[in-house]
Amino acid sequence: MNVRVKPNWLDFVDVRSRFSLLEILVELSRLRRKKNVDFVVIGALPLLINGYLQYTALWDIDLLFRDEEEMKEFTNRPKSKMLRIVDYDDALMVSENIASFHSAWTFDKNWFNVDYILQNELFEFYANDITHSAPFNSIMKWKGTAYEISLYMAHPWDIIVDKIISPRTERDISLRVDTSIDIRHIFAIYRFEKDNNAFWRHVTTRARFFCPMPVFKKKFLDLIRKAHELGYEDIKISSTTAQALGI
Amino acid sequence: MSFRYEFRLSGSGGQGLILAGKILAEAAAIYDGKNATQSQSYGPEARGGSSRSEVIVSDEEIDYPKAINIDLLLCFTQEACDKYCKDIKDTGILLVDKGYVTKIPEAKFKVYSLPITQTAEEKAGKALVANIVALGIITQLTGIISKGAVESAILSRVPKGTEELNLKAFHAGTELAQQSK
Repeated sequence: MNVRVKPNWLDFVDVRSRFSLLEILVELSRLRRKKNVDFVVIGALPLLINGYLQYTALWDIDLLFRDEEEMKEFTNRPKSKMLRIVDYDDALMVSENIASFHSAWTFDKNWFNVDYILQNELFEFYANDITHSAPFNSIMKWKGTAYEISLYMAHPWDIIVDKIISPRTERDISLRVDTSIDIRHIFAIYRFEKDNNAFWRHVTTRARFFCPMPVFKKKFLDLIRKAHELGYEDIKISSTTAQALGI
Repeated sequence: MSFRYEFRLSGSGGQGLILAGKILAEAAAIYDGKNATQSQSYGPEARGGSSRSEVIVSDEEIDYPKAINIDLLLCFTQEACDKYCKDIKDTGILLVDKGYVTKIPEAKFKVYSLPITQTAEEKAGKALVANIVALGIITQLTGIISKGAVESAILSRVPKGTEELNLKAFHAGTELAQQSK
């Protein structure tokens, strides 16, 4: 069994970028509404902070909004005078079932991609879980300063459900895209949690938000069976997994 | 003397250009100690629609993270070439995949029309690693980011079982560029 030792996640952020990232997270904490969930941090950052991703990369910050109105309201909120924002897109990029807007934020000159993602169903999925728990709270210390972070952060176990169900993952599997970031994240979580009964209870319950259990099971098993083709080591389905999925 | 170098990788969704941009930026920032930004933009469809990634590399702090004057434009589709070639500096480079881009505009910048996808298929046995072949070409042509840094960034992004394949694709790219110079 892989035991997940949670190192200091800041160690996996390029040292020159740490100040700007911490300031951005503090600013986002200040900007979030106190009473209801207006945006949820999704993507790689919650996985990094929770110790599932343990490598250095140029991390993005993905903010999930319910709709365009909520996003516009957020972008119009007064922000720190020290913060610089540059929009990469001229307009909201709208595709079949998701919309996105890309920007870069900085408090010095180390820029972070802050991507706004709009998808009502996904928002409901993540926010539904978050409203039953408190926001993620943490005080990070860096060079003698304490940074207080308080954000609605997607639950990593919800992220694996979202990614397994995602049509993008399905396409990556069928095209055998071994560099798929989504697949990498799925395996990063699975590696640590495959024998954890609480994880499986959570996943099988939450997956029903999107689809019937047999559909989720098929998608998950398809991925596990093709792990080797995708460049990962062969994965044997553990008894805990088999029991959880009723195999 | 300080420098600022702007890359734009363009084509369609599913060609791995966003990942290639991330690898390039991580190679520069994490492994070569330079400053780098990377941005991404998709067209209406995540796969099949247009896809664009921009990387800016500098030895100084980056004051503005958007590309202004492109030093190297990579195009995997004719549409991307038609749309973006006007943004290349006179002293810049246009790199196109010969298999997909046939109409090359006349301009002052250097043009490299190379069989990127074909090389991926022939040398690495997989068209999907055309993005990694392109990284090899870009690294060799520009000399802005070290080969070792790009190799390290590739290895940190790919599963263990595909390391050899991806490095083979990268080296096929550097060799193709060397032969074309």
